Amino acid sequence: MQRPPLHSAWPSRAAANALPGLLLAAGLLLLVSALLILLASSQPGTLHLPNRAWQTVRMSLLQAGLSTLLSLSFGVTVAWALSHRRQFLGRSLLLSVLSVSLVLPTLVIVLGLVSVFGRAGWLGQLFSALGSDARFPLYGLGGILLAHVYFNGAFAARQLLTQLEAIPAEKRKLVHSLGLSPWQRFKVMEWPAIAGSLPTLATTVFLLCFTSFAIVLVLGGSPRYNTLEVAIYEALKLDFAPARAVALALLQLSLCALLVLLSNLLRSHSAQISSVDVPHWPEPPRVTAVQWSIVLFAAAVTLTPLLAITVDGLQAELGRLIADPPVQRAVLTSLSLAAVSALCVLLCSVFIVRTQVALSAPRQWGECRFAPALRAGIGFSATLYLAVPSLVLGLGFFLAARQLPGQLSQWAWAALLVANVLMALPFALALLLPPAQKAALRYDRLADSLDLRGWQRWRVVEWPLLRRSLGQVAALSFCLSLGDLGVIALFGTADLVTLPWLLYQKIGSYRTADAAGLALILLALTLIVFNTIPRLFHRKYP
Amino acid sequence: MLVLEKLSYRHPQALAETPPWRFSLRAEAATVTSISGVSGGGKSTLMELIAGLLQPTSGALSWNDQDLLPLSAGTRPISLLFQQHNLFEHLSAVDNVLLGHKGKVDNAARQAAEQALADMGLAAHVQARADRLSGGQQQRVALARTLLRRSKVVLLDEPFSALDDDTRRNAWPLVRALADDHGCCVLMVTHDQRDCDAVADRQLLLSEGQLAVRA
Repeated sequence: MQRPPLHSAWPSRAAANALPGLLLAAGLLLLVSALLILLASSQPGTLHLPNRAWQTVRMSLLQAGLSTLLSLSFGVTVAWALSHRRQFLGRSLLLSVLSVSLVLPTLVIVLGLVSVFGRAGWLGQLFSALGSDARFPLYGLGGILLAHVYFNGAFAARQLLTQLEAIPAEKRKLVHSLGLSPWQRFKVMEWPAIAGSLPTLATTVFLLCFTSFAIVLVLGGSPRYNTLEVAIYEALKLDFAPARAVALALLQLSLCALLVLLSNLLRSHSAQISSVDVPHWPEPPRVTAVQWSIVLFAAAVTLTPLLAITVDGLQAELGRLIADPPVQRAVLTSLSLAAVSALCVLLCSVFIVRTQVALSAPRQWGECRFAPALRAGIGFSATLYLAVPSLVLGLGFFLAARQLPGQLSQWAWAALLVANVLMALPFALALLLPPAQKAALRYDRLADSLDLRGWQRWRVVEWPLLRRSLGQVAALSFCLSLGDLGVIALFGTADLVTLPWLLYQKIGSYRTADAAGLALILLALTLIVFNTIPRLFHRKYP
Repeated sequence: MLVLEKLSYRHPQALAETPPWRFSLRAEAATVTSISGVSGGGKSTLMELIAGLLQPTSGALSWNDQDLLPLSAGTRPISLLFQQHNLFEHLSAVDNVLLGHKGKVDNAARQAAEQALADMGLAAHVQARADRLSGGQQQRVALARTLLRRSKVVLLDEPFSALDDDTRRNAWPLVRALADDHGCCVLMVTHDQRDCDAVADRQLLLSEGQLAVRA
């Protein structure tokens, strides 16, 4: 006999919880699908891949594969060392840099890497002082890998450190009381704690590197190292060959969609209870030395580019730059766009997460046979950006704008906004879903029994438990939008200039001092926003 | 004999005016001593001090006149079992037991581990992954590892709290056997008077770091 639902208001209550998110997800899917159909049908009969396409695919796969391998190796080693070195001066600073790495403006970091690793950079000067002619091969594959590891290795290290710190205190005490060697400890306790999240992390990093744009554009050095994303940009912006751009975009889309499906299959749901107050036990001196070396290496790699940006930026005429009307307009445009994007991401992620939680609740939807399909659909729409890179999306908007009335710049705002929202959404959901599921698991029955619903339920149950994560989501989406140089590369005009686009123009016209000053302004804005927004969401205790 | 002489410890977050805990205790081999008391009274701290997971500020700790304080946790003749998280869930029962073996894992070590599991009534579960075992079986695997380590002192920190009544009753003889058959000195922290009555030779009460014989 079929069990009756536990609550008399079922299924209207369940539907009400899930509907807004479902509509939103469907809307996003429809919009993106329409743009893709437009892309595919824009050049009927003329779609053809250029001769170099497969070489570009091969190079994209190679650099993404190597970047992923190096980023994860960096991430695992640094996370392991930091999980054992829990107290030292500057640890919080290092952790902050690792946390913020993913949202740092790509162009700014690239400039920092050039200042440190370039021919006349700090490292080159050090080599010269030591009487060596050796230089880091920054332009080409070496530079691309270095920049990718900077962003993704730091991101991986922060994610994995969280996993390692979540190992229950009892497990740590157990391995210590058993007298296991550092290698045995890693094998039986630490590796299993991080291994579950590595496939998902690897796929995400691979996708980010595979679709890398600004890094390859600046550091690629020659078309040999182009990714598909850069090839699309060149086809459209430099050669104005839309048919080739569309063919490349569809190829990239197919490859990315395949990888996203793989990523969804590999997604792990492991969660551990965070350990507290774990005492620190002495390690063998050799192991301690290795851990310190890794920490120092990580600090040198991650902090020196930021230091270089600061030093170079302070040498620029910052006063003149700040007073310059085009710079002020670019700052205002970037901040407005980022603020609206962050707001949209917050709303979208809250609605989608509520739907995902509602669809996962067996009490509400367990007996609905469509629930798994709806869950899968909404999950796919949430990771849509990973399958549809922003430049492909921008190209869709670009072609739509040409067929629709109005100026291109009017459509550019919509394109930038949608691209920014889709770019931040996968990360926003990754931040928001676990605490939302936890809150539902813990308080759903109680809230139902007290008949808390709608706004009251949000205020009493969800908001207090999610506010911290919502602060992180807002900061992350704001900063991602602030530093993005994707869609704007297609739509950037004299009327529509964002700060990263202005910076790119300064680099392109060899205004090095101005570029250094703008890079510092953009970096400072990102760091201020990333540290300030989460505080606005923190609870203030009297 | 396990001897604690004014083994002192101050919790890092304790108020300045709070005096440090000073533990004194004597426990013979082949006996089971239960320790109970209110939460926050220092029971787990006492276990971790003896195991070497916490460093005392002063005092003495010895086993059969051997000073244990200079020894690190892994080299003391002591096994510590918690309420849960005693096993690595991704390893088999026998691999978990073998973690208690010092040196190269050869056939002899593997046989000894299997024998220890058999002694705990788990001969049929030697190759089972730890997360496929019930709570009671997991505790028995942890006890088997204690046997393989040949630890002379076994510290049990609320070993039965996560078990249901039937499993708990089945585990009592196993703890008793550690003392009676293997000559271990067993110290067992528990909140449940039934555990004390069922297995303990001596019952102690711990309050504010002071141990007293339970009336």
